[in-house]
Amino acid sequence: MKIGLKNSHLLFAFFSLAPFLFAQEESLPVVEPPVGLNISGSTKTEYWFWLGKDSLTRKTEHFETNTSLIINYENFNLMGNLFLYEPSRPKNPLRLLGGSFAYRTPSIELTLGDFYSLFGRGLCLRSYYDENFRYDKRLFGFLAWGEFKGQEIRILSARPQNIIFRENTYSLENDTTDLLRGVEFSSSLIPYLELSGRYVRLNKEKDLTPQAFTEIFGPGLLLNYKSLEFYYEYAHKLQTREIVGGRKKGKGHYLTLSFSSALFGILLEYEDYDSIDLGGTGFRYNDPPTPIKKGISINRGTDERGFGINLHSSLSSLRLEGNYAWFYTHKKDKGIREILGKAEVDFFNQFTPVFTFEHLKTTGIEEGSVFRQEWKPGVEVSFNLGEKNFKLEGNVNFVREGNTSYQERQYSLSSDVLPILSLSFSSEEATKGVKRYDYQKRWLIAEGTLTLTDNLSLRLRLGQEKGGLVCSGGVCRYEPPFFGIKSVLLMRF
Amino acid sequence: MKIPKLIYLFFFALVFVSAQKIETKRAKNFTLPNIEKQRVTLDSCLKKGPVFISFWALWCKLCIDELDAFKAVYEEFETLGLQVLAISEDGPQATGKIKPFITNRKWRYNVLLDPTNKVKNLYAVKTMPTSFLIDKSGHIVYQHTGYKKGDENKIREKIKAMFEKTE
Repeated sequence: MKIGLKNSHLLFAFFSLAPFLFAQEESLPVVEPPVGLNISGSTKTEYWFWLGKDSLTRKTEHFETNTSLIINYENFNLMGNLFLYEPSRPKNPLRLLGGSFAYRTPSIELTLGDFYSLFGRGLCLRSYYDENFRYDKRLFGFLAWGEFKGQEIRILSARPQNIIFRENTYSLENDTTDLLRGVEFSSSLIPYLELSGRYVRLNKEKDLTPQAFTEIFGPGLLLNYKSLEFYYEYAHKLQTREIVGGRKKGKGHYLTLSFSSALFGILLEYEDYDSIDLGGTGFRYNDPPTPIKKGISINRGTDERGFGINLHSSLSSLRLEGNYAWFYTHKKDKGIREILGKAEVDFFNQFTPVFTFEHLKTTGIEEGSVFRQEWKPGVEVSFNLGEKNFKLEGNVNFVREGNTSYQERQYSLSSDVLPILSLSFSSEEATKGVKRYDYQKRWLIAEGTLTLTDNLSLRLRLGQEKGGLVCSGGVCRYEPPFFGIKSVLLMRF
Repeated sequence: MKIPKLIYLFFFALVFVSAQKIETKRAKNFTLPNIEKQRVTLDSCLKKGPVFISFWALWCKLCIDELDAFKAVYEEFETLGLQVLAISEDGPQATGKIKPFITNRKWRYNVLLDPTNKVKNLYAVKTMPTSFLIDKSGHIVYQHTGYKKGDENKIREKIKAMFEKTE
């Protein structure tokens, strides 16, 4: 729900005062709280100040706050959420008031209002909120879930809202008149085996063809026997062709196989997606998984095929981790190859060295860059000196981009100076100025975290951020360079 | 920017001073599946003893450091009935990786899956790691955000004090 400026102030005042009022009660002599009644919440507020101006949007300030208030009585939950985004320029604030009312028991859950939902591993439907990546795929409507003797059913009907942060600005990406309806069923009647099925239907008010809709559905299978786990999910999409009519088809396969033991753990995964994207340009209502650990996808379910191997091993004081992933279009004209390695030597009492290695090869992923290859060895050493801890990190990235080659070197030092204060300094430099970073060659950052209480912390960051492509869960965005101050206040009540 | 940020800051200053003690609040009940696909309910766990809840994810290095360091604390108090619910906030792309990871890491905690952040939102968790210590009567006796080496000793003291109080 979008709210006006006047209302946003009043609501913010209410949300801010609520913890104050409730906390007063707790400053009284110890009183047992009423059984069943519970009020709590949290606030995250950010204020950025550009030293200079944001080169893309010419902004000088950024203010955002996200406050949640939860009132719980026995099995009933009333949740309120207020999000305010107030940039200095351009004048495009985003003010959202959301909330939900839920009734929850171990076998029944009913939710009315805002919620997030996941069907299977996300081939048919996935809505979520990634706070660090600033991506909110909330649904507004009704969700019912029930369980009886190993049989589970989930039904929903909701209108989606995809809010993404791009080029330092929040925006609502999707058509909010879209309507999603879905059902998922799973059965665990047979020991070690779970069978499931799901169906999602998307209706768009603006479709030109009468009674047009898109549906995506498919079965799933989970076999879990001791150390072995096998999962397979299939999705089939049928979409109405606009104007000409008829049904356009899509299909997707996702499978994983894992083995777990104290000596080593391994996971193999395979993905093949052909036209199972549900949504529109820049946004999706489903989220087929990507094997790339850095969260990069190619075109998010439209045309992707790949596999991944993930390995963990513990040998006495040595801990090893490896990841290999390959993800390309079917014609292999665009794609990514990723190799990650990590070795942690936990042998010495006072310091722990960790050796890391990263290799990334991308073809046609970033705009203006047809081919990019990175080889990045690194080392980090943590010193544990009783009350005070230090950490030193360093890595060199050997980059080849088309016909250009250069190095990026990164060093950082962090320390817990006082029990309530942590400081870190980092420096990064490139041997060559490239367009993607505005031809800049050096970036310096100082950061301090003040933990005033277990429920209250303040983080301040001063310096230059490089910017570039950042990804999470298959969603990517270009982050412009930043020079200025960023502050984050976190509070729980 | 016309929005009066100073007013917001004033409200926050008030909250700073006031909203610091949240102990003695009741822990909200929830049900989640664990990695063995069994459904786990907080209230059922509390019938067996106190519970330490930690919100973590595979991408969160500090969360993993905290749970690694907590292994010794858990071994110390396990016989007294302490249970650990390690709630994974990983998305579906990481679901298959959790079991091999925790087995290899030798975590004996009850690892729950919360891919839609249902419980994370219910507990108003805005950063990870965040952990809660809940006594047998269902009250939150301690809450902690972030992790640095040695924090596990602080938690150990809180658990010790909780058991001494109930004796």
